[in-house]
Amino acid sequence: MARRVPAIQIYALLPKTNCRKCGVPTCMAFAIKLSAGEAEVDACPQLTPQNRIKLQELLAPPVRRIVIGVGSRTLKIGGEEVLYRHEKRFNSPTAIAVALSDTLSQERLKEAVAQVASFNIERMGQPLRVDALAVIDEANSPESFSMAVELASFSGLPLVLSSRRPEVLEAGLKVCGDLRPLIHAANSDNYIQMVELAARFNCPLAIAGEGLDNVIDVVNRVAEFGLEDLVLDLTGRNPRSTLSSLTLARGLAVRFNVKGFGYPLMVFSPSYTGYGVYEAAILEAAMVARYVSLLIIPSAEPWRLLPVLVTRQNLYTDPQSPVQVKPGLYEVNKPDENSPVLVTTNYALTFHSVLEDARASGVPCWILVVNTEGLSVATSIGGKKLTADVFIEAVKSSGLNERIKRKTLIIPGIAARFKGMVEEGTGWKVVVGPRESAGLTKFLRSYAAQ
Amino acid sequence: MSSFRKSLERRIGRIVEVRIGNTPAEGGSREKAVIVGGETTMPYYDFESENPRPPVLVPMVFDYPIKLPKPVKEAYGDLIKNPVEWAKYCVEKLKAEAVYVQLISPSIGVRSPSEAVRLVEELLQAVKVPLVIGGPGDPDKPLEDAEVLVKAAEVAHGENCLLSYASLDQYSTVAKAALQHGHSLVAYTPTDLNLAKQLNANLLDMGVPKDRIVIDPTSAALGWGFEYTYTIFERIRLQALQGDETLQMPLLCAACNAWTAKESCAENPVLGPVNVRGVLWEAVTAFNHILAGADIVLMLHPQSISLVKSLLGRLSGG
Repeated sequence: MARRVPAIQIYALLPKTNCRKCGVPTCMAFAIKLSAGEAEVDACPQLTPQNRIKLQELLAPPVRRIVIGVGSRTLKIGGEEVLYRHEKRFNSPTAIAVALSDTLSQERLKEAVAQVASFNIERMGQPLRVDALAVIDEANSPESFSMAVELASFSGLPLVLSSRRPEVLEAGLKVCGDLRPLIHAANSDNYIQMVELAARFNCPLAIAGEGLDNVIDVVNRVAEFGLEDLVLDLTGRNPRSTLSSLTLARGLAVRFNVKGFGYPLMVFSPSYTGYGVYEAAILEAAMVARYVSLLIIPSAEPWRLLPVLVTRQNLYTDPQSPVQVKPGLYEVNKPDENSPVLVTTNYALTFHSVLEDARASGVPCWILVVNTEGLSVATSIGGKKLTADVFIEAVKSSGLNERIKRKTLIIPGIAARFKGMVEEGTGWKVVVGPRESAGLTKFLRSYAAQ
Repeated sequence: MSSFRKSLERRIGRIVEVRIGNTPAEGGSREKAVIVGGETTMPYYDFESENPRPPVLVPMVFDYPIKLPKPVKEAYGDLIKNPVEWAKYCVEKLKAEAVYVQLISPSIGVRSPSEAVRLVEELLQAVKVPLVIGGPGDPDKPLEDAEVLVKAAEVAHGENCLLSYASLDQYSTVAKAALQHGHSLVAYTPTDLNLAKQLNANLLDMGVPKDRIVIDPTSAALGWGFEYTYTIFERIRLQALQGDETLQMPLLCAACNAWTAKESCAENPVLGPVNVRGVLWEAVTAFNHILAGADIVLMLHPQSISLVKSLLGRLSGG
């Protein structure tokens, strides 16, 4: 289970004045909230500076939170507390960075930067995007590198600067050092210069090594300099060792509190070690499932990136509560007082399927979303959360009676049994729609044709 | 190799090994049995121990040319009209270690259950790999599945097929047939760990040996409920390894469900060519469930199958 600091241990550090300024009646109640992760330390205005630091350390997640970039598209990774979703939700969705080689021509670089910056696929009401750009030193030239970094920085996306050569990185940092890029990477040979760069430009630093032993060795040496904003590059010799290292490192951090592994983990796509584009995409999705916080991929074609992004979208949802949309009335294709009203539930997957399929029909209509606490149509009927009364109440409270002249309600095919009761209870004409949302486009077109 | 060796949890349980298919020595006519299960840890937890074998990918054939996703239809062509040739193709060309046949015709009303199971006899002649036999699979008619599976169990007496599936509505009928005719069975429940436990407990109570049961806890397409099924797979396997005897059976994943996702078949120029998208969608759905513990994976598209198979081979150092 997720590690919890006992409330009593937290209470010992609180002022015990029961001043209520944090919003709860007593310091003990506040301690319980902090222990459950439902409150922030800073909500207490009376903490002594020492106790504030002590509390923050005590309550810090076992995986440190790291910030890359500045401004509107700042990237936060880490902050993880558990190994499995059923214990508690995963906190920071895997960041995806597209790599740019500094051997590319200016034209190609500009194109690639623009493509990545504008990448956005909307799915289930959420934007699926690429989060960062990684500039890779392949030209072995400080000039080429700084030129590529400059072009990448125009995107406004957080940056990763990758080179083994401190002098090349320094050239890049001179261009974008104030944008808080991630410096990649310190190893056992170059860590002294890398630590110096990270300190001078106040940037997070990635540590890379051959295997976990080597990585932890470099982490320990770097820690001696007091550097704490670290990311661990666990790209292994083959994807199997990478998967295994990712799992072990995260497990040691969250289960055994091994501090040296308490940092976000990053990997380079298996594309870089001889895997074809399909195999690489499958493995990237697997690495998203297995704890990677920052994934560097070679390109962003939607067809190969989509399954990776959707794996991330799925696994980073809260397993305790289904993804929901707000109950109420939604417009599709500019409806008016004669347009039909579709009814569905507030489970995000159901709603967005209905929305997309209704939109695709081109037929103007309304969608009335009823509150089923995030359950799908079939599940909510089975669990008696969706009944004829729920339909009737939703129509009454929606104000539709006043707004719509031609009162026609289209209910899901699975809810056909409620037709009679809903007609009686609302005075509306009820039409039974298709069982699956996929049939809706055709259904609406033939409905409109009549 | 790293010197870090550590067990992330206490693992006192082991997944039972289920054999599918009987060789002549065992009273059947299969050339080779398929063995699944035997795990002592989660997939790719190499720092704890290494599991004995990769999962088995099982291509699917249908006894009646139902509506299949376009890319799948194109990949198999006319084979879809001839399940015997289709199954042979799966064994010879796709190197399938087992073949799944779904008997859907009784559900559409084109054949009676007794007529439908003749195909099982033909397949047992035509291919020498173990068979997984699926009933019509209409969720509203569980008893129809039982009726077809009982008939299939009779005609395949002694072959140790894997019957798919027994559910809470009809498990005793299917289990009796499996016991009487020497088969294994799939225990299917709809996305609920406690129901999966209950069904297994009921089957064990009836005297079905533990090593004759495979768990199908439902597997959703990536993007369409996948997060639920991933977590249920993971929880079942973790609890089994922590000693829960009612869950220590291999897991079955129907990755073919990936084709119900819009992303795998809908034309959408923004998302790129539909044929490659669907293949990858099924492969990712399969591999993600493998990470959560799947032992037997039912798959549709031949390219998805070879893709995941070659990847599993590479990961095993093959």
